Amino acid sequence: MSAAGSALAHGDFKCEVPVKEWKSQDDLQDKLKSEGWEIRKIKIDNGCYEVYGFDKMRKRKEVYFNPKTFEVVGEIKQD
Amino acid sequence: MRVWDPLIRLLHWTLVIAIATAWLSTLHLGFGWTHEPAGYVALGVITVRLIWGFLGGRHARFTQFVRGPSHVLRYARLMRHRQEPRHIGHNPLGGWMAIALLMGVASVGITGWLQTTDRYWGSEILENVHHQLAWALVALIAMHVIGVIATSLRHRENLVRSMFTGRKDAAQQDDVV
Repeated sequence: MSAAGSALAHGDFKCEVPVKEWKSQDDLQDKLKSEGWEIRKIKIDNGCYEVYGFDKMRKRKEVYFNPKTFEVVGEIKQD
Repeated sequence: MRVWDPLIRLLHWTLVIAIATAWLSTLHLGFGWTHEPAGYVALGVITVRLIWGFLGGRHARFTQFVRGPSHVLRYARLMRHRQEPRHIGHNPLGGWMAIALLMGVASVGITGWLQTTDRYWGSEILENVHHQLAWALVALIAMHVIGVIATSLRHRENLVRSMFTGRKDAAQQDDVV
C-alpha cells in the first residue's frame, strides 16, 4: 500500500490522474480476474477505481486502484 | 407532567445522531468509517424502540398512539379548521409519522447491511435502493420536523424541549391524554 493507503475509510482515498491517462475498467477487470478475483462492481470514487469483489481466497474486498497504474491506493477492511 | 420516559428520549436523540453521522460520513470529510457503525446503532435503536412499543409505559406504547384511518382523517379535518385537540402523547398524524420513520430507518439500515453480505456484496441494485430509501427518509424527517414545529406553534408549547426534558404542561380539559 502507498502512503495514501493508510487512510482507513470510505472516501478517504484519492487519486489525481488526468482522465485521458486512465486505463479502462475492462483492463482492470481483466487484470484482477487473471489474479483470481471475482469482480462484483467497479465504480469511480474520488478519482480512483473502486472495486468490489472477492479475491482468490474468496474474501470480500473493497479496494481503490490508481486508474493509470492500477496500483492499490487503499483498501477498506472487511470483517 | 412527564410524557417521554428516559429511554424514549435516549433512543430519539441517539437516532438523530446516528442518522446525521451516517449521512455526513458519505460526504468525504474523513470519517467515512463511521457509516456502517452509525447504521448499526440506528438499527439497534429501532429494535429497542419496537420492543419498548409493547413493553413501555403509556405514551411509549403503539396501542396508545397508532390510530385507524377514520380517526386520523377526523383529526386532519379538525386540523384544517384549527380545532384539533392538543395531544399529550403523539397526535394521530404524529403517531403514523413515528411509525413511518421507524420503518424508514429500518429499511435504509437493512439494505445497507445487506450490501455487506457475500450475496449482495457490490450489488448495484441494492445500492440504488439504499440511496433512494435514504432520500425518502430525508423527506420523512423534514416532514417530521415541520410537523413538530407546526404543532408547537399551534398549541404554544415547545415540543423539541419536551423531547429533552420528557415533560409537558399539564393536560387541560380538552386535551387528549
